[in-house]
Amino acid sequence: MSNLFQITRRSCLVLSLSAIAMPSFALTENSATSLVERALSDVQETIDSGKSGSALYRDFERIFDRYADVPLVAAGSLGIAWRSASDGQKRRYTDAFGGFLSKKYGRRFDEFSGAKFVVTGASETKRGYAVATDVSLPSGSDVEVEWQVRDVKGSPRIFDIVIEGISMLVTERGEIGAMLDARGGDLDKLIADLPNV
Amino acid sequence: MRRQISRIFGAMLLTFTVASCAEAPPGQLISDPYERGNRKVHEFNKGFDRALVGPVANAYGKVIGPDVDASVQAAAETISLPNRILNKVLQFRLLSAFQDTMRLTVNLAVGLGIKDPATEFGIPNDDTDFGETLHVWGFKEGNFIEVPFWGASTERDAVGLIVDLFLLDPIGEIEPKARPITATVTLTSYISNRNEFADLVDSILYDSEDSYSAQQLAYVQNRRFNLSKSGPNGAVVDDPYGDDLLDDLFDQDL
Repeated sequence: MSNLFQITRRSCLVLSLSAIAMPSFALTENSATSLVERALSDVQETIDSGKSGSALYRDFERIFDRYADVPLVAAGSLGIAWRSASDGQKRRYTDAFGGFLSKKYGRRFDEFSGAKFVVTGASETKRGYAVATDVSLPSGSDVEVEWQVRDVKGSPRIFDIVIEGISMLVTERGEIGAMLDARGGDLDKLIADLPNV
Repeated sequence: MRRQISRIFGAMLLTFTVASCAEAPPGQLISDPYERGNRKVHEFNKGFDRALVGPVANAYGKVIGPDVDASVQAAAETISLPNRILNKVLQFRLLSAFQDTMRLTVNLAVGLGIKDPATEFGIPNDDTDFGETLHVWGFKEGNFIEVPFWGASTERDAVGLIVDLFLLDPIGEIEPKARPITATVTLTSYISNRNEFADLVDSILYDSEDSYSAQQLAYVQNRRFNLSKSGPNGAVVDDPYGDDLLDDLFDQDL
């Protein structure tokens, strides 16, 4: 009886300890920073692989899926139109948008070849953490790139990249909004056109 | 000089009148009531870039070697430094004004004005303009404006541009005959910049379906980011996801 009591007490202790330890599974400065470092080394590897064209874009899309908060970025880029979209439209848009983004930014990534990324700090934000990196380009200029990280169901995810103050999320929302306007608000037409932009 | 001061004062008054009543509608980054006119000017600027500036910059990049290009950049900076120092004094950034004075002295004495040894000595290169001075003094950015031959701007920054070009020109003030030379060097450095950032400019102007909106977003965000670092008035850039469209997405199960 006393033995059982002991065990119960111990398991109680273990239970309460794990309850205290729970927050460490949530987002911390370290987990946010290490996520960004892993994403950066994957990007570096892809740039150094010498791949080009659609093979390169496919690699970027894989990195995007692995590290980014894809649903939030997709929903945020679509803005108000996300609210009225059907589940099927949301799914098809998210797929098409991932491809569009990888192509658009993959095309520009050779500007960063030979660049060195250094993590300079991280700070807590309303949404999670902002990890600051300094990018020195071979031309000698420095670019400040900030990675916005938040917790998504227990794992850290990047939801925005801010280059010299220019947020990818805010910029793409403007871009997608303009594209949707140009198609008279027809989301299906936008989804159909995205792969060809 | 007295006339200069009264003109600058007039410019401030103008900024205050035009820039104080602009408020961005929800979901929009900046207030843009002149959008129709701005878009026309944008099409003109784009045509000007396509027909002249872009090709000239491209040719410049092919003909001019990196050493000469670096000299053009250094000379343009030397020419801009007296204006920059004045602006920093007006912004009460005295340490930065002193650093710029050191840059000017070192680059003139050691680099003859066409080299940049100051950067190697670790004196930072930190640009400014009268638009930033107005910001430090507490003036709001006002509405978005597309300036002919120049590009994206705001009411406040457009006033700043005019002051920098015509009123805060210490070199031209001391030696009016130098003006054609300084103007030529400055214009050449713009061509050089257009060439250096060709991929970026091309992607905004020619890859985007709506280049007007793309350059407006890029300009406004980048400008606010740069201004957030300066002056006693420099606040951190606001949470850009705080508007009603994005805000509630963060709490949804997507």
